[in-house]
Amino acid sequence: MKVLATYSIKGGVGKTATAVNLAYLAACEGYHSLLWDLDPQGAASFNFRIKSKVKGGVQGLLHREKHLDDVIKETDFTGLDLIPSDFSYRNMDLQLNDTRKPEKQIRSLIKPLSQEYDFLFLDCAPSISLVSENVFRAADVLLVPLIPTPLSMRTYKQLLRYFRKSPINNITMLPFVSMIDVRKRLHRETLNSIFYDREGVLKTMIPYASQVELMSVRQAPLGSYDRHSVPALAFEKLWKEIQTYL
Amino acid sequence: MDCATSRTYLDTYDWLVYRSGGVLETEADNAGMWITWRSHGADQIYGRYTISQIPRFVSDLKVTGFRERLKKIVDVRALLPIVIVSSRIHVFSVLNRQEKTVLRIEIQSDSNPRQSRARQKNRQVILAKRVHVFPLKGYEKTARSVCEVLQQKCNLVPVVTDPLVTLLEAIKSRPRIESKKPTVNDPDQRADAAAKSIFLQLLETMEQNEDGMRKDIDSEFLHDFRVAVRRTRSLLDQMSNVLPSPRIARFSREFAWLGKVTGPTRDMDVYLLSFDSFKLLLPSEIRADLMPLYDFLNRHKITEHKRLIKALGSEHYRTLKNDWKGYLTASPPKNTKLLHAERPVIDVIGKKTWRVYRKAIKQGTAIRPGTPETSLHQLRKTCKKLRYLNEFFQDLYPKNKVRKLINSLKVLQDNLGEFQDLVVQRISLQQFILAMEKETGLTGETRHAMELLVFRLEQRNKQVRIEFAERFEKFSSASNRKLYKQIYSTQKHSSGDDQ
Repeated sequence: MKVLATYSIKGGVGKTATAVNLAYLAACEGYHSLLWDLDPQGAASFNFRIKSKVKGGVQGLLHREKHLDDVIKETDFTGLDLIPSDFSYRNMDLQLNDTRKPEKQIRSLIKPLSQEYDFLFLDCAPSISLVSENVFRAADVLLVPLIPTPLSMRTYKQLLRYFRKSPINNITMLPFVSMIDVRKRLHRETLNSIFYDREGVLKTMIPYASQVELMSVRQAPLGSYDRHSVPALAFEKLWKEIQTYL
Repeated sequence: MDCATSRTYLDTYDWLVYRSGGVLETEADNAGMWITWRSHGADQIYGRYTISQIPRFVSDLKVTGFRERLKKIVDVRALLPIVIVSSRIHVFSVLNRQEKTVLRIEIQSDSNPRQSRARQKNRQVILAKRVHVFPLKGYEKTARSVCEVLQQKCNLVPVVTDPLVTLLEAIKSRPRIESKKPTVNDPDQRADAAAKSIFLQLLETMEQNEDGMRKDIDSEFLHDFRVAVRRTRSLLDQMSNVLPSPRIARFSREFAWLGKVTGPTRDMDVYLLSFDSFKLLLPSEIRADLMPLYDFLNRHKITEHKRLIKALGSEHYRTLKNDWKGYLTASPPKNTKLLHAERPVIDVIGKKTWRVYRKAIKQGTAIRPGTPETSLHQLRKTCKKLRYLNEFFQDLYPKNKVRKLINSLKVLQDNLGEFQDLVVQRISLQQFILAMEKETGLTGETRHAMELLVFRLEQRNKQVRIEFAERFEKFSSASNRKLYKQIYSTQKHSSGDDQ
């Protein structure tokens, strides 16, 4: 099982949309795919019409009163399952602190699922915390959406600095441009500097589009209702590009 | 939703999908075609996605997790249509308050089950309607309540058989899931009768695979046929003083011929099956240069297969089979001068197995880093004999102990097998270079790719040879020897000498 986390210190950059659509695309290709909504806001769960509720909350999972497999919900899309969000995830940092090897808890929780699923997507909450450290240790790939704005680039630099100071083995960081609006001059200018200054940024860019926003109205992955739209095709292209790194 | 579909159930000749607890079905309607892999009873869907045509092999499916998982079960076997049925389906989704599907219900009306795509002449067959309740993971409670309602309020009866089984019954067929491993289970049976019963089971396996070999459905038919021939030859080798020597000599010669005429086609199959792994041994930029080799192998496979069909249709083969069957089905003689023919099989086989084991130890111990490759090949052949003896007569001994012996032997055999294959592949590839040059000419790039492949195989060959020592050490361990001795060399009824 390959673990891919959509992660950014900054919020509102398209993490959830990416996780939902990539998990859906993987399932469409016949992969058994699982999405864990780690964000207490529960947007990914909402996008699949699944209640943000995990029996026993984060405490139940961390104390092994419940196994992850017990709380998995099948979505309406064949091959795609979801571990819903729970409001208790807001305290995950505190709960993790009370465990042994607090930075490896998520890795150990997902281990039993590795035979059943081909891909696990982790949709992370925006922050840099003990939960993030858990994600870094559990993930094979870190997908970092970058909006071409100075603030987004600033948080990306913070993340790079963090990795320089505390290197994590065996993780591939794949930043990509997200929610780009070519009509905006700021986006165009920042975009130039992204590709000029930085190596390893994926070629595929996800455009800012109302179809993506509609996901929260349709409560379904973009590909399931508007397969041929520009952003849906961009997500497909992104998934293909990511697969070349797996 | 209401739709008319045509469903084709697929499985391998030996029902590998069904045996693994699954069912593979393709479904086609006006909107397209899907392939679904599910559990018996459809409690669990392992995978479902769209396809453009019914796959013949797993490799015809696009590369996905579905394909990789299914490949682990069916490997290189062809997916054959086992039953085709027309169906009318009404699909209902049960939604919760969030309008999320928590349960799928399908009412299925199947008609005209048939074995092939040919139009049915008989009158229309309509099967009983079925209501399928598909629970979704995490929402099983809803499925339980709905089933209760269906049973109590609608008086529906729960069915335990999978729809596939019902359809097979309708066409008077059933899954063949019996094990095909030839064995004997009566320790007191006369040795000659026990041997003949194994030979008969092996002959049956050969006959069952003939049709698939002729039609070249997949490479496993020929493989299984050849394994049965090899097992027959191996057991014949152990039959001194159990069966008359002239018979052993004649049939050993005949089965050696059969092994020889089926060999070239199998060789081509093996190279074609290994082609992808050959490519992976080369840098990605020159992998395409190997394609002329693929075409060459395919061409020769066709020629060799024609020769094989000719051999199968020959008078020689027919006579061999008839004489062999006639001999095996004749009752054992009441009076015989053969020392072991009438003795209980457990005594005779125990001693023979122990002897083959000691021979393997002797041959293996003599192998040093500089020993010629042929010694490893000799040991490989002895190990095969030992393996077959262990397997044929495993039911006469404690199961867990024999399993242990077989497993330890397997580890050594894997190493010896890979070593020998690599030796042969290296030599063959060098011959192919010359043959391709003669037949169609060879570009510099293809020659380079093939020479690099030979080099890589040589490197791997050296590595496998190094690994041999460790594997043999485990096989010849004191505990393993103790187990062999305990099982095979302590039979009570021993009498007379083996020659």
